[in-house]
Amino acid sequence: MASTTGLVQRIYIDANAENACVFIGPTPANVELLFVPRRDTGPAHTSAFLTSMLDALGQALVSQHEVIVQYPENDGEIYSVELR
Amino acid sequence: MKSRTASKKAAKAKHSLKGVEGRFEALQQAVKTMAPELHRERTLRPGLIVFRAPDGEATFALRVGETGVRVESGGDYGEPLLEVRGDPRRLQAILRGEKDARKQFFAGGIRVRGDMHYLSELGMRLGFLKTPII
Repeated sequence: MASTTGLVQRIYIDANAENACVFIGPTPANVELLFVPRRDTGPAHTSAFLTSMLDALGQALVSQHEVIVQYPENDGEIYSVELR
Repeated sequence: MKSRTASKKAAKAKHSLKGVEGRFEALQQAVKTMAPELHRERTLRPGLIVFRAPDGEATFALRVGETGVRVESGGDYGEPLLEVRGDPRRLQAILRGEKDARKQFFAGGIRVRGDMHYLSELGMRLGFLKTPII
């Protein structure tokens, strides 16, 4: 498990709308490139969880709150978000 | 019986590690080959680009100076402009423009850290990005 602490510098939805790309780090020029998948397949509660993680990251971006995100060691897929 | 299975497992792990190292050397060679041209046309910025294998142990860095470029292996490099971590075979295919970087990243197994403007410029120049990420 890996984690990054910092400000949400940018969020964008990729062209085919399957993933949300999230830039997290202390400055815009020093970020970890991470993503939240936007899956329509799978259980409804999983989609709801992913959507609420993305909402939290969006709120952190707007309010400039620091976040702690967790993701696998060899992967950029966020599975947990904590607002500080 | 138990020890034979354990030694088989150890041998398999050793073989797999050797495979990763070999692929990592091939990636290093590919970077070494394409770097001078990128430096001449000033696509590369002064600083470091660090490549790491998925286990995080095998590393090398492309050090860009005002006058030239150098590939360094192992050791502590300092704060890089960009750090890329992933399967060397996939990274090499991305650098060659054979695989779409976005699709590979979203498929998992690749991590990127640093200056995304710089990554975007490099991606557009090398052809692994069809549109800028910033």
